[in-house]
Amino acid sequence: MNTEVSIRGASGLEPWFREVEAVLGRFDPDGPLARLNRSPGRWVTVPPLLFQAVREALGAAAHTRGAFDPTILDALEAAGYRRSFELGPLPPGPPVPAGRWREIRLWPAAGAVRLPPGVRLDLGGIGKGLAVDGALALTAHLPRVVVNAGGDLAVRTPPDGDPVEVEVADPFRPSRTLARFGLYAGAVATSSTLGRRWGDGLHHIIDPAAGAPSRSGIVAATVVAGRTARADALAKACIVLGREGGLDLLREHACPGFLVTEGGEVLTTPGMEAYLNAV
Amino acid sequence: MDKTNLALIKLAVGLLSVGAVAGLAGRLGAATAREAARPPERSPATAVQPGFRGGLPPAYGDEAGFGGFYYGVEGDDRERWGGAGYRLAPPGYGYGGDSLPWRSRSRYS
Repeated sequence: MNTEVSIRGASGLEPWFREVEAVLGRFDPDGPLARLNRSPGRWVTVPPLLFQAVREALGAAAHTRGAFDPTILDALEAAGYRRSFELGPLPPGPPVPAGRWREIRLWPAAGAVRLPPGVRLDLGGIGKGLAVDGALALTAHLPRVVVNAGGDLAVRTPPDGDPVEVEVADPFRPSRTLARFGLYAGAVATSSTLGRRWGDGLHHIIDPAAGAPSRSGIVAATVVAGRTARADALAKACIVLGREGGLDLLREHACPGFLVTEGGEVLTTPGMEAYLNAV
Repeated sequence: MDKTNLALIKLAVGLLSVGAVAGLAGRLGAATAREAARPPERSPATAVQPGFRGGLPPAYGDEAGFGGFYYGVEGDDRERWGGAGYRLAPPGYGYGGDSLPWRSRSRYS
């Protein structure tokens, strides 16, 4: 994931994060995701973690009306993101519309996935969230745990304990705090088009319909949800859907959040404005 | 005080002493039993669930998979969304001078 992970209240989770990286990462040509992507049109037995991740990514697509889409890999590569970000981008090509996630088939009894010809998966949009959720599940016997993977975080506190203080970074000035709140349980994920950028309008959040980096006018979204994968997927979908569509999606799923426009305006779901600039 | 009264008084004192000793022993016994029933003091537990050898973490909370999504198979439309599942503190709780003991920061990466 090339992601900094910090954990409080638990230890021993390194093997889990290494496994997520090995199974869900797309840059290892010998990894299970790359092998699946090279085998369209036929059933491929995959590791249980990859099967579950595909299933959850398809669930996320269904619950965001396709604004979150795990089949955007061709579009992402066409935009220039063809290798690990640290190695630098490559020149962009023409857009590649996505949206064929409904054609993917799952065979739970066999732990197998079948991709339609011409479709490849990228699970980067949900993998980090799944890693955090898995870490919390693996420490379910511990009363107070905070797991933060590169800014996507999940929290569990005991029934009579204090909440964990969560700060949301300002996307334009990440050292500043945009919002602050106490969280007893749940997850927070932030996505932005301002982080991984490699040119004018070139970033890693793909609008599946356009097959190119999103230009909705929303540059950052922070979502609070029960699970990190859900918060992560909703945050990305909000950026794709824009201000009205994003707020409608959060209202539909009863998840609070903040959206930031390219002009710096901060939009919130009802009640969340009280947490802005709470210092 | 005749001999009969003296004997009765000795008997009463004796019985009281036996009762007091028995009561004390009972209280001590109960305390010991409570001590035994109490779970041993745990140092802050810091390990993942015993038995994890890789693979999938256990689902928790509902049937929606550990990430919160569920997607059916081969046209089966059994998506599950479930409840939102988070719990926020009211605005202003715990900060504004006295920060909460644990803090975490959400940012893009």
